[in-house]
Amino acid sequence: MDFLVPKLSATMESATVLRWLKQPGQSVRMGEALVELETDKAAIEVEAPADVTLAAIVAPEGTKLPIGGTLARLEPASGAVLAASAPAAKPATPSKSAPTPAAQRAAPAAAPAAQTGARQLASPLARRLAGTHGIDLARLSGSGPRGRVRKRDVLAAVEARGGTRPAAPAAPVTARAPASAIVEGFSAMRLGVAETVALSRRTIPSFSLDRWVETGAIEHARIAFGPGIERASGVRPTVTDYLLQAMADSLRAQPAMLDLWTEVEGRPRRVSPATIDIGLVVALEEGMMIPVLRDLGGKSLGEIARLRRDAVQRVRAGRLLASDSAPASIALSNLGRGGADRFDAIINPGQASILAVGREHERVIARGGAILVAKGFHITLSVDHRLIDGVRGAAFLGALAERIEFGPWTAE
Amino acid sequence: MAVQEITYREAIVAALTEEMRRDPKTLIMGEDIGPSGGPFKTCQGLYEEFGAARVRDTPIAETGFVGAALGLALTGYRPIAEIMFSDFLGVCFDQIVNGIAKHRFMSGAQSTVPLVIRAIGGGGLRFGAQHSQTGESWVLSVPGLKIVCPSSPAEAYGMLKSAIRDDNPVLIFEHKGLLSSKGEVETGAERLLPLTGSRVLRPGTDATIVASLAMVPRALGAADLLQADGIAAEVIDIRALRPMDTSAIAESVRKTSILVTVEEQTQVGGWGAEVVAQVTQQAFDYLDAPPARVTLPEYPLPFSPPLEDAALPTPESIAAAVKALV
Amino acid sequence: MKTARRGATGSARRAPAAKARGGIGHNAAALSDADRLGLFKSMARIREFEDQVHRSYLEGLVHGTTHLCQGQEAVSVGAAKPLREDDFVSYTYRGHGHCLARGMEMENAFAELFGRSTGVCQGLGGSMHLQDIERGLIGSFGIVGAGMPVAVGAGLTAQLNGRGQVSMSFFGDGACNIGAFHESLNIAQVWKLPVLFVCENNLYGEFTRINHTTPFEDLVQRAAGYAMNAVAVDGNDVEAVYAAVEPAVARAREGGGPTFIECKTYRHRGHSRTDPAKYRPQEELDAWLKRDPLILYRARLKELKLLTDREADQISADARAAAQAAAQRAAAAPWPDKDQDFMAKVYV
Repeated sequence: MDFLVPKLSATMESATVLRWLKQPGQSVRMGEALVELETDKAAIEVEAPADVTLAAIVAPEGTKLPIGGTLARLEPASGAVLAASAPAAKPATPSKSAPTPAAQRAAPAAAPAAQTGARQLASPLARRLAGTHGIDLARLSGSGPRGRVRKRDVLAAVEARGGTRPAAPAAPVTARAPASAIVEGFSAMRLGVAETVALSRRTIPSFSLDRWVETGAIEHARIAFGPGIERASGVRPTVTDYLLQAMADSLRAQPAMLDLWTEVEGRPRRVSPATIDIGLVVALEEGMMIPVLRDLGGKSLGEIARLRRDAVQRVRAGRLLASDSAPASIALSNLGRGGADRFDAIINPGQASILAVGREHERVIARGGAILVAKGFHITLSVDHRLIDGVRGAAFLGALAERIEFGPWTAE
Repeated sequence: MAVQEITYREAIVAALTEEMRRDPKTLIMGEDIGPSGGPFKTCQGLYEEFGAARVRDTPIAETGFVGAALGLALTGYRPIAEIMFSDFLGVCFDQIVNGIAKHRFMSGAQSTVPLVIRAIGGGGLRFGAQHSQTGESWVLSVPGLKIVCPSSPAEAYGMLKSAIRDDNPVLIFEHKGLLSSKGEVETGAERLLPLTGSRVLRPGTDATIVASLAMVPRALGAADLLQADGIAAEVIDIRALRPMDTSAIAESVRKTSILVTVEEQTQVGGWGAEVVAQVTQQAFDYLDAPPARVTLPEYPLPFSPPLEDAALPTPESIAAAVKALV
Repeated sequence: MKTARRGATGSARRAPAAKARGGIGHNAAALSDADRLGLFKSMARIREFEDQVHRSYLEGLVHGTTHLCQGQEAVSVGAAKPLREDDFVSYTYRGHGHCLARGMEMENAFAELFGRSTGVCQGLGGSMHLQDIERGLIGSFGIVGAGMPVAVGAGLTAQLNGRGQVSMSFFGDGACNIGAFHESLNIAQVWKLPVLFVCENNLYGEFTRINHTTPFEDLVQRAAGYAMNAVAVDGNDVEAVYAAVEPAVARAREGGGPTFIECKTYRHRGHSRTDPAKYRPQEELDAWLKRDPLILYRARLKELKLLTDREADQISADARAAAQAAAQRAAAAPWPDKDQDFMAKVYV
């Protein structure tokens, strides 16, 4: 069977093969990463769809392919194939700035890093600059101790590629910086975010609904269940996990909220997903990613917390799985640790709604004729009006608010 | 109200004199500080002006008079205690770390403890291992204290004045190697310096050197040497150790990508470790080399002059540490 | 351990005879009937407070440890009697009695022991650190002897203020061997400060009897090394304590300098809550229990026809009820806010 380039984000149109993680002839378990692709947003590892043997690589490293392009040929697994059978038929990738023999001796780890997958040593600054300028660290040989790639190595590579060497080092432009402004390109991620939000604003007619909800129930549940869940599953659920469970339950009760708008051959079509998948907005220094947490319906807080933790770790490490880019109907953007009381989030293209959560704070409320002080936050639901009208959106928000304020929570 | 070139020692005397004139609730206690004016003459003229009640010669009993300073502070006075050698802080350690530092907190903020402890320390004068320590590491980890370390006459003056007016216990580390160093100070004016935050003494783009006390002039010397090699080092006087504000240092490192700390203390548990940790948190993605610390070796300061000189950081050893990273 | 046993019983027998020894120049101001009843009530209040602490501890309301002073009430009450509102008092981790004798509210004291927001120190101090700056209760020190130099400083404040204030420092026999003790006595005497050094000699420094740690049991001798006025009294006789302290306070107010007052007493319970105090000879304990300061003073007031047994019982019962009610209210108080601005408590 052919192994094709999957669609990994709403705005993605093509991908470049960064790195094959398996050699032809190797057998690969389902879910094991096979290849690393660079998309408009990030480097993403794509897993094997089943237990297979990598029969042949069709697109060698560096090849750019459209969505649906053939990456490789796979064969169903047969235990007989040995990993050692066929060596990779890959072109050598000579480094552009060839290291001096002395540097090679001093830094044996530098050159083979690309082949062996050993960690390329690089200073934090070099790592960041490489990302900004689209330089593959693995192809550099570092001039620092133990072959560590330094700022100067990355800048030399930028220069060698024909780019202009940035005038100033990595200093941020602060108020005290000299008047001569620096003009340089955006990172791939920044550009990806820009394109995505612009597409959303251009194509999705949205409106938002707002509600202030009390968080006492979550607070009590965190005290009551937190330690037990942490003992059982190794991770203590955060407020985000409680919100995810509340959203999943509410979506189960109102599955129409899951419907997606898509176009097949130019004609609008409704897609009703079979599972409850929720995107989670994860902030990064350069932008954000929205990994999708799959099939949350009926999941316990411990399970949700584990899924959430793993996804966030993958995002932070820049090692997304293809499943992180699965379609989803709704996303959650929790700015609870920020300084904003409430905000509207922009719907991720391809999704139908997004829930934005502001900072937790106390406020005076009226209840049963009495004045009291309660802790809570604003939840603001932005919906795609093509799919969801005010009545439906408000009903969902109301049910969700009740669910957040009163539980019940499924701990284990 | 004049800008004068005066010594570090004269700056201390000027600050004490002005503040004791300003507030009759201030008084100073210490060993040999009365008619003798202090072993380092940091209290010269105070006894003559303010008399025996407010300029008090104490027995050689640091626990006694530092504890008494706490009692005075709790009951309405603003005492200043002079510790003749920073090394003697060990003698009154309990009063400082268990009493003075915690009193306000344990009382549920009923009490305030407006007192100043001035400790004169530092090496390079052939005093041997029990009279040459600066001592900041001992108290660095104690919440409740403010800790400052002036490196110039202007700082000795401005920070001491602020410390005396501050309602918290302030521990000032002065350096006996700096006592005769000169600098411009505007005395007689309300030139108070803040008790937190650092100061950039020399701008540069290639490396950030953070130093304290007598290491500050040595770090500036290192910057001169580096300049000759085409390396522009930024030199920062950390100046206040607790509460520690490293934001300006992190900002500098975002520009230079290289961090070297210089302190006259052993490496383990020194303030340099905290600076490196905080800056790494604030500016990790801007570091282009592992931060380095130039410190004393992990043994007591030796007496013999060539050995003491070899143990202390020098402009050359600081410059070498920077060059290894750039 | 022949010596130890001789020391043990010897002290108890000797204590009453030690009344008013030493060179106080004049007699104490006479006590009125109302004063005397007040002393008894104050001691009963401390006793019932400490007994309630013990019960609350068993209920799990008192956290960590606590150091009770049953048996030593006469020292706190008798020494506090001659003090004015603007005097300063510093004391130790066994300090509940000193605080109550200065009028601290039981409810706030309990709340502090229970770690509640209504505690005198908002739950930040605990049993060892009850303080009330407004009442001149300037510090309760958990480190043996550490409060003494602080009392000296407060004494210097008193001297500089020139308003006849005094500073009183309570400490135990254990403190008489630590450096801070010696430095404090020396400075106070050299500077002629109005400081009252009230030594509560209960014969045990934590678990170890005084004869194992100190060359003599009559700690009043320590003062001689500092040329300080000194007196030793029966610390279980509240009027004897008053009679020794009152002239010393009066002299200090007039610029006569410090006085060392050794109060011979005994704690009924162990050093702290975890100490069953099995190291004490039974006959020593029995002898001192018979000399319970409340029993002694009740007998004295009966003799003076100021109190009947029924009235005395009623006073104790009232104090017990008050302590119970105060503990109940304290236990119902909220915990301190975990999200409070702690740094505002550390720095001004």
